[in-house]
Amino acid sequence: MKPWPGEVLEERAGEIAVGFAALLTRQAAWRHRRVETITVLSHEQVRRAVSVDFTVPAEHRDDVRLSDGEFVVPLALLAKRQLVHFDLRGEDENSLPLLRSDEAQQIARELLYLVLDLDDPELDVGDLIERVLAAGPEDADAVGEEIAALEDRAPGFAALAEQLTHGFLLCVVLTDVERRRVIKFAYDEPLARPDEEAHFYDAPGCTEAASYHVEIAVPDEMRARTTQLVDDRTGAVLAVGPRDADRPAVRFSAEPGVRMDPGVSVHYGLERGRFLVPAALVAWVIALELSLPLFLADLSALAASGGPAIAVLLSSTAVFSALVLRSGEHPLVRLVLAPYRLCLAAATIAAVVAGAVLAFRAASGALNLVWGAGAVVAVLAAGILTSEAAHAPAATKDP
Amino acid sequence: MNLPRIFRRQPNGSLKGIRERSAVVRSAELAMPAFREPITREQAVAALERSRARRAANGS
Repeated sequence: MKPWPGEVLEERAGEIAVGFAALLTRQAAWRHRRVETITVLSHEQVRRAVSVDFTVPAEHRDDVRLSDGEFVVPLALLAKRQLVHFDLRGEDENSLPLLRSDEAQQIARELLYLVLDLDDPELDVGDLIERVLAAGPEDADAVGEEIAALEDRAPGFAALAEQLTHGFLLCVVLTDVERRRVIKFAYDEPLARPDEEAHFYDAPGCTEAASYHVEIAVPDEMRARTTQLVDDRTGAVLAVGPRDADRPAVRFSAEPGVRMDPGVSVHYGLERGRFLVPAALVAWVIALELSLPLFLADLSALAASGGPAIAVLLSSTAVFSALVLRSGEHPLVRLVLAPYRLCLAAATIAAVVAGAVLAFRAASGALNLVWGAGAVVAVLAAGILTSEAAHAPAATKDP
Repeated sequence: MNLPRIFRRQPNGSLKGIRERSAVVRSAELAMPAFREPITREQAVAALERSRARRAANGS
């Protein structure tokens, strides 16, 4: 009787682990290129799309054979947590099957025994291996302590077990490994700490292929002021992308065996022309509307006629609305713009209050006080917006 | 003349620990450990056979 699909893997897990042992200890030798595109979805979430370009070495193709015409290839090590919007596709965008995490654990179990034997065949840690595979976030630390105690006797096993405590192998099932393949997967990731401008995207995969490319899809109205692939452990800059780009790209080739904590550090900035310059101009117009009459006109005489007061009120609020009430804005842009909108709001409110005291024909002292304070607020707001616009990147400066 | 920055932090000079000073995307992927030496097919096959024999002897 032929084995059922669930039984095939049980029979082949050891042989597949042999192939994995060779493939995972020389990842850059068979993965030609890894390309990541990180799209900022909001201030809380990004989407990472990964493509892995590889050729399974001829000597290991039979090792990773699951059944006739089916082969298992390790693409990555994924954390044991829920994946959001995960997607796995082939070259022609067709969906591809992947092993379930419990299926991948059967291979991981054999892999752990295999690496343990190479380190220290006398160690008997079968129970620990089962706890490594079953570990969840709540008991990962306790299992990690047991693993750490083995670092001297079995360093390779300890290193692999540590990672398999926190993650599982992402394994794609392919029908053809005779040729070079490009497999793509994508998932959403949350931002662990909010910050509007300085982002750090972990990039553990940058050492797992001969060549690594990463692109950042920057939201409309923003630019990546700086984009750097950084080793957070040492602060070393591994690669630098173009300045003030709307889609910066970084390329890197890692030295084999070097330990690092790599990540892409991106510092975002608002484009100058879309909001900051118009907002600064409006704020200066309001500042002039308030300061010129204050110094050059008789406010009490102006209060006698309603025309100027109404003109001030209507013009400033109309322009303010046009700049503030915009639909379809990227959530991150909305967040970054908030303090600048507050500046513009302060200038507009100053104009409205000044217009109101004029319309209500307030006493001369009150008129001068309100218009003076309004002029100061408007000048301050205009100065801040001008300063920020001067520092902001121009939209036309493409890489 | 450089105008003062009002709402934006200037990036610190050193990039060491930049992760702690940024909004962090903890990757759903983990790094595979860096092994001192690659494991060859022959080593892996021999290790698997030894390990299987030991487990069979232990009844596990």
